[in-house]
Amino acid sequence: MPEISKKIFISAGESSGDIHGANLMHCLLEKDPQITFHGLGRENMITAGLHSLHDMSHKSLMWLHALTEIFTFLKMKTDCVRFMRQERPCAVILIDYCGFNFYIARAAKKLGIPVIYYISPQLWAHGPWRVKKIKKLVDKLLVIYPFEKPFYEDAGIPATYVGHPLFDEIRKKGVNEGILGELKNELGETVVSFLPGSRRQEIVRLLPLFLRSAAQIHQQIPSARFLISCNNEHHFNLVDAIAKVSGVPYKIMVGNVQEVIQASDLCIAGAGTVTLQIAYFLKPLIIVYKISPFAYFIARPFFTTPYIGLVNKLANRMIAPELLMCTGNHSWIAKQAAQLLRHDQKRRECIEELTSLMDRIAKPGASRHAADEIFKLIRPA
Amino acid sequence: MPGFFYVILIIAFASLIAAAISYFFVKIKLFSFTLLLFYTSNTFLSFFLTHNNHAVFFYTIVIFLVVFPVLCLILFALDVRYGLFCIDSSFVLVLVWLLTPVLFVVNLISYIIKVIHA
Repeated sequence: MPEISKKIFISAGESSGDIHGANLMHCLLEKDPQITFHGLGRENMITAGLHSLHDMSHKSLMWLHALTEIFTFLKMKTDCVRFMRQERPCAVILIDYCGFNFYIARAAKKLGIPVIYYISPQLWAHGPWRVKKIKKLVDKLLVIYPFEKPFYEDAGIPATYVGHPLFDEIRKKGVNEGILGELKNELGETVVSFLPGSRRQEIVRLLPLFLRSAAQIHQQIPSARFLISCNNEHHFNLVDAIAKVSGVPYKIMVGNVQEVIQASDLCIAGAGTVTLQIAYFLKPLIIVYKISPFAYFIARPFFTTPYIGLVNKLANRMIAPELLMCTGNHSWIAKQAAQLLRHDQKRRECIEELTSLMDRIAKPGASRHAADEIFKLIRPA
Repeated sequence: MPGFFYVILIIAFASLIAAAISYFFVKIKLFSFTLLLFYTSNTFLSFFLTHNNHAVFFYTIVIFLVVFPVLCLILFALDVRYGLFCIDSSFVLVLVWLLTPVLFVVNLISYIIKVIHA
C-alpha cells in the first residue's frame, strides 16, 4: 500500500487568515506530528512550522489595488503550482483570500488534490453567483457562520459549520488587566472607542467621519473621552494626523484591541470582523460602512443581505445600529451614540441581544473542529 | 441633418439614464434593452459625426468605448451564468460604467463641434 503523503499545502493571504491558519496547523499537528506544511502565510504560520514558499506579509491588497502587484502574484502562483506538481501534497487547505486562492484551488483540482476551503469567502454578502466557481473547485467547505452552511449546501457544496476561530483567539489572548486599568483611570467614566479597521483605506475613509461625530457627542456629553484603535503601528502617524484636527480629547491605542473594547462604553466600528469582537465583550456598538457614491451605484445590484454588520446578519435583525453611507452622515452616528450612552433601556436591550447572540455562536474549538473535518477527508476511517 | 443628430443624441442620453436606473434597481431585461439602445444610437452617432473625416478616430471610439465594454459585459454575464473566472469579475462593471458616459460625452462634443462648424 503506498504511503500517504504527510505534506499539506496551506495558503492564507490576510493577517487574520494567518492567525487562524496557525491555530489550525497547531491542531493538525496535535493529531499527527509528522505532518509538514508548505505554502503561503505570514509570521504566525511560519512560526507554527510553515515552509513558506512566499511570505505574504504586506501582500494583502484589495480589489483593483491587487493589479499593481500582478507579476508578484503570477510568480507566487507559478511557484505554488510547481510545488504541488512535484510534491503532491495530500490536501490543499485554503483560508479566506478568495481572489488568489481560487487560482490555487483550480491548479490543485487539475492535479487531483483534494481542496478544503476554511473560512469561505463571504459570497453571501457580495457575488453569490461565485458559488458556482466554488462548487467546481472545492471538495469541502469549513464555514464559520451558521447561516453559511445552508447557503452553500443549497448550491450542492459539502459544507460543515465549525464555529468562528476568532472566539478561540479572543479567549487565548484574554484582556490585560494592567492596560485595562490604566485606560480606565486615564479616560474616566464615559469612553467611546473608534475602530475604523486595519487597512489604510478604511482609516482614511472612516476615521474623519468618526471624529466629526465625536465632536457632536462631546458637545452632548462633555465627560466623553475617545479612544482610537490603531491595529498597525505603521498607521499611527496617519491616525494621529487625522485625530489632531478634530479638537476632541482622544487617545490612540496601537494594538490591544480587546483592552480598547473592554474599556469602552460604546464602540463605533467599521463593518468587519471586529464587530464580532465587540459583540463578544457585550459592548453596545454602532456599525458604519462608507463607500463612494460611484461604488455604491456599482455594488447596489449585488446586495443580497439587508445588513452590513455581521452581528446583525447573524442575529437576522438589527441589534446594533448600522448605516451604509455614501456621504459622511456623522450626525446620524452622534445621534445613535447619544442614545446608546444615555438611554439605559436601549443600552440594556442591545447588550441583552448581544448576550443571546454570543450564547449561540461564541463556542470554543473552531480550529479543532476544522482539524477533525480535515482529517476525516484526508485520512478516511 | 443636425435635427437628426439631435434626436439620436436625445435617444442616447435617455437610454443612458434609463440603463443606469434599471441597473441600479436590478431590472436586467430593461437594462439589457436600454444599454443595447445606448450603444446602437451612439455608434450611429459616431459614424455619422466622425467616420467621413476622421475614420481612425471613429474606429478608436468603437473599439475602446463600444466593443470593449460590451465584451466585458458579455464575459461578466458568462461568469455569472457558468462561474468561469477565478477572479471576482464584477470589477469589469466599474470599467463599463466609467466608459459608458465617456462614449456619450465624446459624441456630444463631436456634435457640438459639428454644429459650430456648420
